Amino acid sequence: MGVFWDSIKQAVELLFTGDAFVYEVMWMSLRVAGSATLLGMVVGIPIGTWLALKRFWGWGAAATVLNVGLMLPPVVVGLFVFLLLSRQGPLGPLGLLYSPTAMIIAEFFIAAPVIAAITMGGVASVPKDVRLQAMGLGASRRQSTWLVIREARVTLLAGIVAGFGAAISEVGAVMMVGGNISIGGHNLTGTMTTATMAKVRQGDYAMAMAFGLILLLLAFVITFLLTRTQQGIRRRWLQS
Amino acid sequence: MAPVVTGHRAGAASSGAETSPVAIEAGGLVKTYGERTVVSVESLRVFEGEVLAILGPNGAGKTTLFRLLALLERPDAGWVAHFGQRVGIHDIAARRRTAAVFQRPLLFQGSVDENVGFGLRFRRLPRRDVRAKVRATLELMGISSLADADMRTLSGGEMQRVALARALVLEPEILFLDEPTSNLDVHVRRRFREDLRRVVDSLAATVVIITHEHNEALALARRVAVIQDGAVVQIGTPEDVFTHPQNAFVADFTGAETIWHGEAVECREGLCIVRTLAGIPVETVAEVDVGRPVVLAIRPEDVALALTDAAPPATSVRNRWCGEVDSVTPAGPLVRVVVRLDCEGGVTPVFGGEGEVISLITRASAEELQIGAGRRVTASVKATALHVLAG
Repeated sequence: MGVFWDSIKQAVELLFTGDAFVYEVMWMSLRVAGSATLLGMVVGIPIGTWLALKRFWGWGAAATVLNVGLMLPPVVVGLFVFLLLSRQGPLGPLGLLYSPTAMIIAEFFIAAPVIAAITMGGVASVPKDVRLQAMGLGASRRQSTWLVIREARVTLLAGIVAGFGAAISEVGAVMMVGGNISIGGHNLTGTMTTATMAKVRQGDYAMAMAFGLILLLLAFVITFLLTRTQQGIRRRWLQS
Repeated sequence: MAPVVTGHRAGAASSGAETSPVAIEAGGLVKTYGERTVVSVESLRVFEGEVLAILGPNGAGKTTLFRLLALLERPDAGWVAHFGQRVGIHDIAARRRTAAVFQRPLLFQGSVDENVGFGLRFRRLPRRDVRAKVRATLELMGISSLADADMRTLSGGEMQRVALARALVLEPEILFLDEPTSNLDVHVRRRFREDLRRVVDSLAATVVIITHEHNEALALARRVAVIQDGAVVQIGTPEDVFTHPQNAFVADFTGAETIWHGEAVECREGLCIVRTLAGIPVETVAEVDVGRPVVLAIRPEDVALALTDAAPPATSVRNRWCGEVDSVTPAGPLVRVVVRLDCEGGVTPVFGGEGEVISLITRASAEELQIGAGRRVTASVKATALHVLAG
């Protein structure tokens, strides 16, 4: 058998024997991508909602900036964050470079535009009258905005998942600002993506494959949950 | 407690409404979209406890006026007052004394229960009170069985009932209804309108209902405001508006299908002979100056038909014209007959409806007279059923 099947077999063994390093890296990945997604929601959902509901002078420019953010090459994001946090950079004194925090910042800039853009699309597709109707039932502006976001919740969920997906599968930026550091067999700033790359370079295909499998499994689980939510809604549609 | 209570709405059309306090008042209200002025209402008053129908064709600015009065849209000029206070779209306290039902049900995602509870939750009512009020209102509307249903599984009629319940649960002092039946199938609409009338009648609130159907206005309202091109052209009791339309538009819109233009040629002792553009002499009860252009409006139900070859019965009817049936269209239990008048001396064929009279007769009499296209008939109208409007 070739190296492919061997590495898969060993990867499964690593996963089920509870190799500490594998779980440390997995946990780091989830923590960094999860935090970046949460921050991305906090910033992206209000911005997306605001762009969807308001028309103002410079709206076009703002929407363009958002779309550029969507297309932002992760390596460029990594470069910017790296230069901001590097010793000579404006935020150098904070000493954040090569820390999980630095990775969270980088992934935030990748996840937030995705969440904002999808939120904007979802909120904009809610009929305008829904907001007026809420106000006609006594909603304040804030309450009516909340209701519109609630109406777009399925799309929002998809946006959050897409943001998380972009963050957790990111390599270049995280590599640049995190450095994939491990000391004495303990992981400090390695994520599943950067560790996979490093392990491949070291010829440790089994470990690389273990991370690959986890990423794949994660993608399956998330997609499954998302599809089920969406199907649930479609099924209720069909009943009517 | 059931939100809709407090006895029956007092009495007849005009009884004292004008002396009641004013619930809604508007002055110099203007709303434009781009170049187009959609609403331009000089002044409008809705009295406390009355049901006012705002009647007008599609595109007359009804919905925009509704939104301005309900504090959902900001006017470009003018003001709106609720209960004597000038208010705007930021006055949440004022808006929370009202509730609005839109043309489309616009239910929010979730169950019927949730939907009906939204307004109360906006007002931060304790959860338990929300539940009790929602249940009571659903019961009142006869939709308790739908409480847990997802809003997407409802039929059109059920949705609109939920939309109405969602407003009624708030016990509004002013209830705004924007064409609440126009989105429903015909058979559902009739039932829903009955329920609506029951609810509106039992409600102590001031009700403003937008509609483009004069039947709906007649069935529900104590006063009717007819709106044309964003302006109120006539306001009064339904009887007043329907029997004394102030212009051809109101006449046409309130169901007078035959509209003729003409000129008074002879007036004596309160009777005037009007010669129409088509040359038809018409006897009317009206005080008009000779030579003045006038508009005549006739409701189809006021036009009787007889066979021309039959011996003319002795009758008090002043206006009898003969002609040929042009078309026959069934309209429910009735038949709508268009008669092209051609045998009066000097009937000149004119464009449009000038040479035609439209009659609504029962299906049975249509069969009896064997009315069909080409049949010779005599149309007759009492002079009192002819509405003479300023031209």
